[in-house]
Amino acid sequence: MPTELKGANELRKALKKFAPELAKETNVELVGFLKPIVKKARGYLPSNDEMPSGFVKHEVKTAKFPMYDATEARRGIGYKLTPTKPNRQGWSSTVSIHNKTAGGAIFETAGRKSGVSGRFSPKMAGSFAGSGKLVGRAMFKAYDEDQGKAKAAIIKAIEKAAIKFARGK
Amino acid sequence: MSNLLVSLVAQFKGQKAFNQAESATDKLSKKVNKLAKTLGLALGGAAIVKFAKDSIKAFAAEEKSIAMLSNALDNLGMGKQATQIYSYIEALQMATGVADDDLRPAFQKLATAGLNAADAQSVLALALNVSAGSGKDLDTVSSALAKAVGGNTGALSKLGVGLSKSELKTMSLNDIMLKLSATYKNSAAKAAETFSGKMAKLSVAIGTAKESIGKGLIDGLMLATGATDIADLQTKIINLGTTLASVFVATGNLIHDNWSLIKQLGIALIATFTAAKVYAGVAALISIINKLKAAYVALRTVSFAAAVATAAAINPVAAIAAAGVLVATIIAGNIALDKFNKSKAEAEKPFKVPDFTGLTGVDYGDAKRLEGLKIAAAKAQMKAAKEALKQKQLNKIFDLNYIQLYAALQGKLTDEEKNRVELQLALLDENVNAADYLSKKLAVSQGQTSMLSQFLRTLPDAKNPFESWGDYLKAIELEAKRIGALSFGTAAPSSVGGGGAASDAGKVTTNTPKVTDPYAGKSAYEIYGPSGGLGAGVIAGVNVKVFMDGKEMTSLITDAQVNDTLSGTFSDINRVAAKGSVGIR
Repeated sequence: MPTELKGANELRKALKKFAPELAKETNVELVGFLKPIVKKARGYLPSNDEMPSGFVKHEVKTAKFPMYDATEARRGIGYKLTPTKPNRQGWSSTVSIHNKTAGGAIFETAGRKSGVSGRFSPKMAGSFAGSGKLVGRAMFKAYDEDQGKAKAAIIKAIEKAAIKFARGK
Repeated sequence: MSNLLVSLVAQFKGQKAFNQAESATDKLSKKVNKLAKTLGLALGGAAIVKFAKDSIKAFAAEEKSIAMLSNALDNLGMGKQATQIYSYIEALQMATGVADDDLRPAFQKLATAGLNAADAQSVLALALNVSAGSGKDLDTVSSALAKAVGGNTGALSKLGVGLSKSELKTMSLNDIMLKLSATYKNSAAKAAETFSGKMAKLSVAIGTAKESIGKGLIDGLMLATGATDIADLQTKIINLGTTLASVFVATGNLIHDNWSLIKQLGIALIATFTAAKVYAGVAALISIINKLKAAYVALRTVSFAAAVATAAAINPVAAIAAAGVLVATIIAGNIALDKFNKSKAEAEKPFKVPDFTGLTGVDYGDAKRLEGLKIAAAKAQMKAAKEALKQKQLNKIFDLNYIQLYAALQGKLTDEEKNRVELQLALLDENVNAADYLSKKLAVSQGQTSMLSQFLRTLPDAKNPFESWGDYLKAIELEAKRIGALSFGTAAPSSVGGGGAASDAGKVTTNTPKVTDPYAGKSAYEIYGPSGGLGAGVIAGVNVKVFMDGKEMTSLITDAQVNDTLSGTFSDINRVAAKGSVGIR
C-alpha cells in the first residue's frame, strides 16, 4: 500500500525549478535508498538456464506467449523518481520501482493466483514473498524483505527537502 | 505491456480527475444545451420540411391506395359504386378512427372475395368490430373473413374469436357472421369513444389534412417548376439539388481562394485597433453584435416562420432553399454569438491572482507563465503610452496654441511671464505634475511681487537733499547783506610788515588796525600785471617775509651745502628778490 504524501509531486516540481541543487541532492538521496532494492530484485531473477527452455528467448518464435531473457528482464527492473500518470483509481506514484518486461513480470507473478501447479509455474526458480497484491518472486520479494525501511527513508528525505526548501536553503 | 509497480510514495490525483470530469460534464451539458437550442431552431426549420415531406408521402400513399381500390372495383364491376364506396370509407374512417389507408385494402379484399358492395360494406363494419374487440389488426381480420367468404374458415379459427373448428365446420357463413356480430356488437363504436379511439380519430384527421396539404404542395411544386407530371418534377428536384451543391462548392472555393486576403483583412483590423482605439472598437463591436442578436431573436420568433410560410405560399421550392440558407445563417450566427458572449463573460470576470504561497497544490509553471504575461502586459502598456505620446507630439506641430506659446517662450520674458507660459503649456500637455509645480511657482512669484509692491507703498517719502538749500542760501544772503552793511576807517598802512629794525627781526608784526585799500583806484591790469598777476614759472602764492639773524642764516647755508655735497648735487646760493631774501636751489 503506497503512502500518500500530499503535494509531493508539486514539491519535486518546485525543487527542480527553484532549487535545482536541492533537487539533485534529494534525488541522490532517494536513489541511495532505491538502488539496493533494485539490485536485490535483479538478483532474484534466474538465468536463462534455470528457466523452462520454451520460455527462454529463442530464434524461432512459435507462439505469442512472451519469452524470457535474463538480461532484458534485469534491465526491466528499475526505479522512477518522477510522478507516473494517475491510474484508474486516481493515484500517481511519486517514487516507485518497476518490473517492466513481460518475461520478468511472468517470472514475478506466475502461479500467484492459480497456485504453483501445472507444467509451467512449478518450474520457476525462486519463491514468493510479500503480502496482498505485492506478492512476487523478484521485485516484490526484495521490497518485502526491505520491510519498509526504504519507504520510510524516502518519506523522510522528501520531508527534509520540503523543510529545506521552505527555509530557502 | 506489463508493468508491475511498487509505489513507495504516491499522491491521490483523483480529485483532479473528478474535477476534470465535472468540468467536462459541465461543458458537455452546456454544449448539449447549446446543441438543443441550435437543434430546436434547426428543427423548427427541419420540422417544416419534414411536415412537407410527410404530407407529400401521405398524399402519394393515398393516391396509390385509391388507385388500387378503384382498379379492383372496376374489375369487379363495381366501378359505378366507387364514389359511394369512397364516401362510406371516409365516413367509417371518421367514425371509428381507422385510417382509410387500412379500410380501403380491407374493403378491397372483401370485394375480391366475391361480396357485392353492400355486403362488403357490412362485412367491413363487422371486421372493424371484431378487430376492435379482439385486438387483432383490421388487415388480419378482414383477410380471415374474406377467406371465410370463400369457404375457408381455418383463418377464423386461428383468430381466436370464440368460434371452434367444429362450430365453423357446421355453421354456415351467415351464422358465423351473425355470431360474430353478436359477439363484437358495437365494439368499434365503443373503441372509438375511448381516449385512444379519439386520438386515432384525431390522427386520422391530421392524416387527411396532410394528404390535402401534400396534394397542394405537389401541385404547387409542379406549378412552380413547370413540371408536367411527377416524373418531370422529380428530375427537376434532382437538378435543383445538383445546382445547390455546386453553389456550396463555389462558395467554399471562394473562401479558400481568398483565404490569404481574409487573413490580411483580419490583420489589418487588428492593427487598426491601437491602444487608444481598443475601447471604442470593442464598444462598437458590442453595439453591432447586440443589434445583430436582437435581429436574430426577432428572426427566430416571428420573421423566420413568417418568411418561410410566405415563401412557401409563393414558391415552395424557393422556400425550401431559402429556409435552408436561413437556418444555416442563423445557426452560424448563433454559434458566433454564443462564443462572443462567453468570451465577454470570461473577460468581465475579475482576475483572480492565484495563491502561490505554500508548497502543496501549486502549479509553479503557471506562476512563471503568469509572470511572463504580466511583463508582456506591462511592456504593451508602455508601448501604447509611448505611441500615444508620439502621436500627441506630432499633433503639437500643427496646434496653434502650442505654436503661439513656443513663440512666446523665444522672446524676452520676465520670470513670472515665463512661468505663465510654461504653465499654459503644461495645462495643454495635461502634465499634471508640471502644472502643479508651475502654478505654485507662479503663485509664489505673484506673492513676492505683491509683497514688494506693498512694501514700496508703505515706505516713508525719501528726504529731499536740496530741501535745506533755500534756508542756507537765505542765510548766505543775509550774511552778505550784513557784511555789505559794515563800514571801515579811511587811514590805513600802505603795507603789512616789511623790513623793520633789527630788534624786530624774526617776529611778525602787526600794525594798527587801519585798513587801507592799496589797490584803490587801480585797474586789474595794473594790479595783477599782464598775466593776471602770475609770471611765467612763478608760483602763485603769498609773499612771505622771513626775518632771521645772520647766524641762523649761516648755519642753514652750511647745512644745505653739506647735504648737497654729500648727495653729490650742485648747489648754489643766490640772492633773489629783495635784500635779505635767500633762495636755495
